[in-house]
Amino acid sequence: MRRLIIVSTVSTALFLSGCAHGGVKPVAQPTKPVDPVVKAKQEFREHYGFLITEKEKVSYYQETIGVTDKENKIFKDLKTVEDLGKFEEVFWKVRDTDPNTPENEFKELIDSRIEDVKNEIFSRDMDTPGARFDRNGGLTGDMAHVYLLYGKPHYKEKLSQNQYHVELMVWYYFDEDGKPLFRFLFYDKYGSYKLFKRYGVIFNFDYLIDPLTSPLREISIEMAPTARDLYELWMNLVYYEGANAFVVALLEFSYYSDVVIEGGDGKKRFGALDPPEPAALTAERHKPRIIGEPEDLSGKEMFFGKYPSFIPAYVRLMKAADGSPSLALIILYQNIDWEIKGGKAECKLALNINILNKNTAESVQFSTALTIGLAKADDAKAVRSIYVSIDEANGANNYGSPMKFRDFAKKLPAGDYIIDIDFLDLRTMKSGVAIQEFKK
Amino acid sequence: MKRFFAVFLLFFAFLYPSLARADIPDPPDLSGWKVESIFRVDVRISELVVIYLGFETLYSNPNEPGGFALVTKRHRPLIMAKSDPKGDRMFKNAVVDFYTRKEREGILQKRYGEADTIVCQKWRVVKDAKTGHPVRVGNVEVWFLDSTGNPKTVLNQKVSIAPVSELKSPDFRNGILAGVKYSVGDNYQIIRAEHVFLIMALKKEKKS
Repeated sequence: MRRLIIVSTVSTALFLSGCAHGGVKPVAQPTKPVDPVVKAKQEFREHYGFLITEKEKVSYYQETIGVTDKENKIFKDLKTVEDLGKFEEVFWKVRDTDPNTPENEFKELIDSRIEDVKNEIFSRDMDTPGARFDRNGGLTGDMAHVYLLYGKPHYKEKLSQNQYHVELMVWYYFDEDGKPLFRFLFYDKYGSYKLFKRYGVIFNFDYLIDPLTSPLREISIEMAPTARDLYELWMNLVYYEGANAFVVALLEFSYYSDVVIEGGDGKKRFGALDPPEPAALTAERHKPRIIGEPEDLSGKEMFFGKYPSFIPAYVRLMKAADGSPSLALIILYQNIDWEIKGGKAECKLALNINILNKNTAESVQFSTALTIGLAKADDAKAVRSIYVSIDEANGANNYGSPMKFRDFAKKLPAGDYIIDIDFLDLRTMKSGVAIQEFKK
Repeated sequence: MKRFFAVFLLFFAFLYPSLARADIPDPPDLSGWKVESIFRVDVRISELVVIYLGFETLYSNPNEPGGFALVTKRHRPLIMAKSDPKGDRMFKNAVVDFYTRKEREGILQKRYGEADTIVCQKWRVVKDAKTGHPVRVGNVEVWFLDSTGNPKTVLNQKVSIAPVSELKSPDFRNGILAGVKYSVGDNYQIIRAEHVFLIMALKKEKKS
């Protein structure tokens, strides 16, 4: 027993002497040299780690580093300062919001926000006095995380600690429609702000005051709140008008159900704190579709028509013996795009005819493909025109029933019609349109 | 033989009027004129779908103060269907625009190079001594190429511009704006997107 007392006394004395400053100076330990790669990576992670994506494999590092993998994995596996440099270059390039300018606007924005964090821009703010980043985890804390991603909130407020809850702070961000896109609620429980993240479906009031499951536990002043504590906390918040923004932020993170605080899937569920998708990928995903581009004709021998943008044609609309419309196209050879094949010239047109009955406003359609051929390729250059009768062309009506145009036209009841004819060369995307009136 | 030839010519003149007017000149030569401004001729059929149809260029004549020409060119219609960002809360339209601008401009520039002049209107203005406002003097010379490829030159005739729709059809129950029609008298030139491409563009919009 005595031995035990001596040992504990000595160890306590040693401990106390170790805690007390100004005593015997401890022997300087040889400092292990810091690996420059580790240091540089640490620095990068501290500043920009919140941007490194984790979910999907990315191929944009393939060209420079030779790796396709998840970005966080690629970053983790970087072994040299040189590779880190290459990584950084690509990292910022794909995040540049405007590739048309020499500046990287996105990096500039993030760096300016980092400066704001270092300059403690909220500490003297009227709405959030004393809110300092350095006391709340610095650049890697929750406050900085939100600020670096979204900048200054559109609305912010602090609610002092009272007998029921700890100090609270909300940051609201609204979208273009004025709807709350994000409501970030910070609570200061152990001397620094943490983000409230326990959003979920609140089934009933009992759930809200259940000491085991209630999300209110996190903001309670008590370490282990009782149902009574939680009930009083809730009543205190609900009945205090100045706490409205906090109550809403506790219950709902976003106005939109597909926006969650974190853990989105990047497709149907957006996680506000998730690393944002690089601009280049967003642009690629939302790239406009261009429709109407001609096919690549480089391998084909073509004799192009005179006009690069359209096929001039004369549409001859006449009345057949039974009073039905009779149609023909007359086109100059030189206005057609001919494909030269085996000494012959050929042109294919898709023809659509839409006939609207002016009296009933009902419409019917007929479509067909026309192939025009010349036995000698050289004839394509001749100053001649071709007469294409549509009447005998096999096609289909709008129900897909095959028929000749003549039979289609016969079925039209008597009336006044607008006949809209368009034809298109599917290879060159040149077209022609004619709209004529007809009385049957 | 001569008679046959005459009948033959008449026949073709009837069938294809442009053959009988082969002496009509090409569009007026505006080389040396200064481009004042270029406008796109396009039709927006929804928030996301635009049909590009052509260009209008306003020229001024450096050798004749007050001399202007407005040239309308058509190209093959080009539909640009943007992706619907509704599913993407954080979609930044500007970012996509910045990234795709070059490509878009490149395609339109290519189309510009392949465009056909369909209207050229030339006129002259002078400053009114009393009001100081510019007033037109002399004729407005109009060169027009219609949809049959038949060019004509007229004086002081109005060039009408009207939107042109697809007629009602099962695909477009209320019709759909799809292009522009230029008319001079009874002659017209329609630039319109193809039915099938309109369906593709709008389907994409619905799918997104």
